[in-house]
Amino acid sequence: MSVPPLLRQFRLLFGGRRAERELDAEMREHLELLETQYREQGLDPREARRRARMEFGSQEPLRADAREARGLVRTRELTRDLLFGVRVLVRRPGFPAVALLTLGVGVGGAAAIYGATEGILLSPLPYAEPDRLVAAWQLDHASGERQEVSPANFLDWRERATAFEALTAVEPYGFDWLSPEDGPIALETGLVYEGFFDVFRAPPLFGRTFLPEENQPGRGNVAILGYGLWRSRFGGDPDIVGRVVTFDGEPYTIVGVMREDFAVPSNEVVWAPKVLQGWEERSRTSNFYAVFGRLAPGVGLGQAAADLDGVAAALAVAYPTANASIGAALIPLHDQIVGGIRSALWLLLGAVILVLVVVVASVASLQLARAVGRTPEFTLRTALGAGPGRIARHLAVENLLLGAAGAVVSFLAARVMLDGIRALAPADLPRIAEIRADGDVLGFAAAVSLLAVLATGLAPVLLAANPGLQRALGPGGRGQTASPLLRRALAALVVVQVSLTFVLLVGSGLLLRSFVAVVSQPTGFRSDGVAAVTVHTWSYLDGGPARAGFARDVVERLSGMPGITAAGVASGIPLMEAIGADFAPLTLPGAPLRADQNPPLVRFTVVSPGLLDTLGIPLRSGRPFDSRDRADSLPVTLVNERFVDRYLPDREPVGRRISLGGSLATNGEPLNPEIVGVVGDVRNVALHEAPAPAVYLVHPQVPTGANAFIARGVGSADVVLSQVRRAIAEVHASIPIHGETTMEALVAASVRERRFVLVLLGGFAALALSLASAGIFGLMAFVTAGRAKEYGIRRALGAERAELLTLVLRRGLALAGAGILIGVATAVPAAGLVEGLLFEVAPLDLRVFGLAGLTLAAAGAAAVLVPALRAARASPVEVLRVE
Amino acid sequence: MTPAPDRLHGHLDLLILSSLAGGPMHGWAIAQRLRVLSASVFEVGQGSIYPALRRLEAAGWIRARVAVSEAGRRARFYSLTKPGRRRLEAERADWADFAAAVQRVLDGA
Repeated sequence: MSVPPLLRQFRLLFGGRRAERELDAEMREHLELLETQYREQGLDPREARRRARMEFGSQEPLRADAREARGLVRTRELTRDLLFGVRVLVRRPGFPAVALLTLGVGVGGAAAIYGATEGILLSPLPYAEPDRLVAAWQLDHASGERQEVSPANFLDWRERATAFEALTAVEPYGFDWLSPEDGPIALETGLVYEGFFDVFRAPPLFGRTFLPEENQPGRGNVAILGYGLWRSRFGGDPDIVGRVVTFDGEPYTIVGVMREDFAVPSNEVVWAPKVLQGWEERSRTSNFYAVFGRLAPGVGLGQAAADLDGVAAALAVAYPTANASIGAALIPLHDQIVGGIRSALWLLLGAVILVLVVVVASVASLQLARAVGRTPEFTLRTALGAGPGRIARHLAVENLLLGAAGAVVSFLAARVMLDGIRALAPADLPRIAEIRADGDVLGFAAAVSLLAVLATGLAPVLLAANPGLQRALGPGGRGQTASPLLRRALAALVVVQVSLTFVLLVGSGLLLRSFVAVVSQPTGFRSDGVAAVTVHTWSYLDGGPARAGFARDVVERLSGMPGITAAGVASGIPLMEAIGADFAPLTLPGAPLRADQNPPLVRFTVVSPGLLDTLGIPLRSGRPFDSRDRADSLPVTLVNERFVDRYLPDREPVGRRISLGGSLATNGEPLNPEIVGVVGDVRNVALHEAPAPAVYLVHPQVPTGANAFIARGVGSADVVLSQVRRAIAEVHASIPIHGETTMEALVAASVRERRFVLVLLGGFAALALSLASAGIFGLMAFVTAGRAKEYGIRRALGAERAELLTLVLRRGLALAGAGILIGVATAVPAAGLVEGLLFEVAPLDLRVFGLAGLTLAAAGAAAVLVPALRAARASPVEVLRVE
Repeated sequence: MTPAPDRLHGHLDLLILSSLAGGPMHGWAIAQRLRVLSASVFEVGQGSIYPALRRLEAAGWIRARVAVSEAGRRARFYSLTKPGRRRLEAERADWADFAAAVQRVLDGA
């Protein structure tokens, strides 16, 4: 019986006329039968008809009853109210247009930010029981730094810790692969331990995850693709499972593709089983594993951390040389992933709330002003017999319509703005792929729009239902002005808007000054026309001499290319942490360490002689690297100014020897190079991080890791980039390209997150500013229009135009001033909250506060200018004539 | 508005449904049956069965078909639908419970 009820409803609703006819016929027939019966009993026709009528009952209420029974009345009235509402809104489109614009931009923007922050910050990770997932790190008690985990430590942790259902690790690696499109490249790879995917309870999109035995030697030639990599490099081929692909010159069978939201460490990687090498089982000094775990059921984070700490302490006792100062740190996985962007997103979420309040205040003043403007209409309709309930219902329907339209408009706006946010967001913003305009965003936009309109629509409904209030708020009889109560209500709304706008302006101002401060930091290197390409050489070139020869050949070929002015090779690139950030323990002869002291770690970069010139790193004293510095000559080094300040403040650095251990030591003997010169500081880590002490070593003397070719040309950096690629391919056709960038792109990328937050907050501030200005304008226009006669009379009594102008201006500026004062009181504590995002700007920066105040005052003056001029133009003659 | 005395109010639906349990009837016949069987205890305006019939029809418990009556007139004949039959059983049970409960109270047990 699924169709008939529908059909029946339809017939009852739309076959109304016929149903009435049928009912009439049926009742008439019944009456006739009754009449006949009485006549047959011997009554005269008139009496028979009377009795029949009595017995049947009155027909009209019965008809109404039957109609009601069919549910027709309510539907018809609702349709009428809806049509009436649409007509009212469309006939005077100014109000709905402004309201919808306000809702669309304000609520839409807020919903977009909400969507982005919700996706990143609030929604749980897309794994089963994500609260039990943690990341585990080594904690160096000496430096307080978190670091990756060494293989042997991980194996011991896994064996001894009891608080975990499972611990697993992934080793960052790069598979060389011959891309059909781009030639030889290196794919970001994760070599994973047994149970890696099970810890996350992550099912594959296609195929399967790894089997336990695939971590055994000889079984590990299987691979799983990340979703992003599968789409970008393997054409999203759904039949990929079972295909054999050559990685690192060996055949690997693709056994699965993970889902889009599995991103450990990202979804642009390929995973393969980690097959443990013998030496790794004992390696505690080189640490490069990312370790993840799932807490055992019922075990809390603190309990698990204590458990792992205990294991680490035991290891510190057992292996004092490597582990003396090594503890363990557990971090909830969500915290680790969201990490640095968290505070910025909370800031934006706070800004969302401020903007929403400003938007609601705008809609509220629009509604109030409109309701008062409609007082005559309500009066007339009441006079014509419409009850207060009826008018209130009309208004409610109007507001519902407006709220629904607002919900649609703001959701559409939110979708557009979310696309904008995604485009603007740094590519490495965590969980960016999970952001989309989904049900949550729709719900947010719809709920806020409806609530804003309905809540603010209460005022007109109350007005309509309460004639007393109408008299109190509405413009009275002749010559009177708008009522003080209404003016005060509107003024309060404007003051709220101004004060919150001030807070937003201060916030954006502080971020803007920080941004300017960051981008105007000297990077310490030239980036115009400079490009860098990194390669993997180790599996193609055997031994130091072959690699050194390759590097020399590429640099030579590059230097001979047209337009290239300088070229070199280095073990690392500034601002690109992923590539070869290497540190070595430093000791200074003549300054022996105390027994309990660890030697400081100093950053070292291995460069070819021409590299410092390529990057434009200036020589401050001494000499640069040159052809004198051969593999068999005395080892030399260049140090930066910060190094000198820190370690050799009172002595002439050139000519001194330093001692570098760690990976630079050969057979336990540290490298002891002589300082031949001092060079300028470079910001290696980030623009906002002050340069650290650093040393440069020259390539022929230290054969390791020359894998970044850097060149500077007269043309654009993109041209230079393609030249570097060509030079590499010409020297060795199958060397895989690992990464490529221009230095300008690198600099831009390093401030992209800051720019992202700044643009969003600035957009909010601009939106709030325009709404607040519109609020001031609206209120003053309303007030001055109501007082036109008063101004005319004043003019007639001798007031100058300038006096009237200042009268109105002063009133408008008083509003702005009150808002600014409240804004200052709010912004002072609020600014402290953003301190962590600031750079070289104090939270209570006077210039920012002052400028925010000036901006608002100027906007207020501009908004009030038109009403003020109108007041000043009031003509005394006209007023007298009207009166 | 309903001319029914309070005693009938709310039970008219049940009475109509039970009248139709024996087979299709038109409005006149239903009214006569109620009058006769209740020995005129239910003195209601006979017209009030028509809104009730419309209500039951809208609820899907009865359906109407136009046919020719014994008297040779075209009339709307009402019959129970399957849900109507279920409804009747439910209402009947309710009524029996209710009546029994009232009876027990009156008997002063």
